[in-house]
Amino acid sequence: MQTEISTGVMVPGATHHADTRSLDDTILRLEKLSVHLGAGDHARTVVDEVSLTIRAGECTALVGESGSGKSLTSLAIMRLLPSSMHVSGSIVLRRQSGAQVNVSSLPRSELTSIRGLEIGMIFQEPMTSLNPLLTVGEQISEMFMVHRGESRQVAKNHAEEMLVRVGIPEARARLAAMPHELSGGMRQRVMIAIAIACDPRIVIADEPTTALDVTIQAQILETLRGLQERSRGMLFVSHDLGVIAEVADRVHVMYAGQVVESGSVGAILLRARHPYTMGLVASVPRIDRPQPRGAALYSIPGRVPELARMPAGCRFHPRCAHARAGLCDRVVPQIEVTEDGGEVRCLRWREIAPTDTLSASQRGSAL
Amino acid sequence: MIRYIASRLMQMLPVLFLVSVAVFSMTLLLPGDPTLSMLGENASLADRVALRERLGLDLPLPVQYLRWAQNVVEGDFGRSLRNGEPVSEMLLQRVPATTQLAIMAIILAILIGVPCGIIAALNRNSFGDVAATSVGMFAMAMPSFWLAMLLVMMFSIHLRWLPPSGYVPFLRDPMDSLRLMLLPAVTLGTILAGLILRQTRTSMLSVLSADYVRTARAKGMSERRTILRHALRNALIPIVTVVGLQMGALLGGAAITESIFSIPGLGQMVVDGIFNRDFPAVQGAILVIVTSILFLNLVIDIAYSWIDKRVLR
Repeated sequence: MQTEISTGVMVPGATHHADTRSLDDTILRLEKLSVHLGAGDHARTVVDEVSLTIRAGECTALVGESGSGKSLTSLAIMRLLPSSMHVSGSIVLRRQSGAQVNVSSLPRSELTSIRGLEIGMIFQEPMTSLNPLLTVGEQISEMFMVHRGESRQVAKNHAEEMLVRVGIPEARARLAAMPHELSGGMRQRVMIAIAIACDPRIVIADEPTTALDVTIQAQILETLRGLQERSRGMLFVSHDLGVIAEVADRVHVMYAGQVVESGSVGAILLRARHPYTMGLVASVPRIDRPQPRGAALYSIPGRVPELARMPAGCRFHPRCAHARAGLCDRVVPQIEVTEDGGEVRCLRWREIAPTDTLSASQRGSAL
Repeated sequence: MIRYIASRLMQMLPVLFLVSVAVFSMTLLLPGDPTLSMLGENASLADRVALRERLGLDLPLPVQYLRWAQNVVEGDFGRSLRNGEPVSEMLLQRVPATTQLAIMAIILAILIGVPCGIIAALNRNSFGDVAATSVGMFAMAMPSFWLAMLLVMMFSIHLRWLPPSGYVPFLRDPMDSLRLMLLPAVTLGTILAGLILRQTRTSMLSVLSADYVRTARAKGMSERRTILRHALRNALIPIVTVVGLQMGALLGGAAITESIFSIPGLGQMVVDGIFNRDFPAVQGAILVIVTSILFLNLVIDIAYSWIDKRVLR
């Protein structure tokens, strides 16, 4: 049951079973998570009431342009935001012991029992995210030494096993390598090995393939998918719909700090309801649908609003082809649940027919 | 590693050669004919020629340089023009005093500067940070003679805890030697601590916002391990550079501090030598200072390669 979609990649479009899963599969739940920058009168809300769920065996994706708040959301879960930002709402984590904790109110000293152990994280830039002065082996085995109390030698053996698991050849020899001696793809594999070393039930991948070239991207995605096993849930942050199509089960589309649409990957890519999602999908080049010669690829007009000048009403209305004066610039849209279990934040979504990507892009190229 | 050290040593040779040529040329700056000043105004031409031959002054300059260099390598720096004492013996007395002062001062400066700098960086813009940074700046701006006098007034005259001046070789009486050297070391150490504090703070601040420090936190490393293992090591290179440069300056002798505390060190030897036109003494002292600074640079390079293995690869 696979559906051909925009990038010409096969997606398990109808195999998502998010809606039929029992609540017990839930590992992490964000409830109205907001991130605020600064304090007092100058405070700005950069992430606005994001709610989402990460379930075992499922990959949840956050998509959006730069500045949409998707990376901040993932950093907030890890409590890695800069001190100038603070969080409201809750981050409910079900620990491996079964106990539920609210990560956002956990004292700093207890974070070491969450980070690396319950949640592993992979960052965008494998070059700068690895410590340039420590060997690959030291950086991986540290996980086992600190979290598991293993001796240097035992930890080193485990580190070697991890390198094998993420597909690094000559693992024993690579333990002594410094990060700068590895290629970008190898470095990202090392990051993945660190993130999953202590077998966390959640892996957050923040644009893990963005800094890599395309052939390597595919390999890393393959590796990540291989790790997406039974008990593990993943939060995948990306601006790249092609990548999302390959890995995600559920997708949350973010715009200007808010989730504007969510649903199964098939629904988002094939039956987008929010005009912003439609624009995103239409701006992906498609090999199966060549552009007329000389026609520019569709792009959403305008740009993401600045924090200080957030538009009234719907945040997307200045860029929206469907915006209606007097409605979209006045009334703040709320999240509404669609009949297929998705969510959409649009005042006119019922009037705008759920389109397939083809007509969306035709409209796009006509603009 | 050994190849690295060997290549660094080889690189030192041309520098040493140039310095020795410069130091040798100092004798040429002596006004007048040395035979006249040695034999007197009424010496006969024959006597002066004989003396010139005996001293080798009739030889071409490069040959004179080689002879002098050979003597220096054998440890013979000539005799002081002031009292005829062999310069090598003067150096043997003074080098240990200066070295001890430099080491004590730099250890004090590191012990104060590095931890305070780290704490200031971790609590950026807090009261403690502003206080530490201001005190550090004040310390850097403080003239050493003034700080020295304040310390003597406080600890020697008022509290009577420490002797005001003097020097005992460390090997003869370690306890007394340390007591005598404490105030001068605190004088120099305080000033250097300010510098090291500021360098440590700046360096730590840039490292603390690095991606790999965020990674260390994301890995679940404790704050202590994140800072000491992941951040500090990366911040260390500029700190080591500053420490090395200052150590070099200290080995050159802190003439003012040495005179205030009556320590017979290299700094004083150079200053006295210049005032007395005692060129062999100045030559010897400068050669020793330059050589030790070159070796110190080697030690710093080795420290770099120990901190950052990429240097060797």
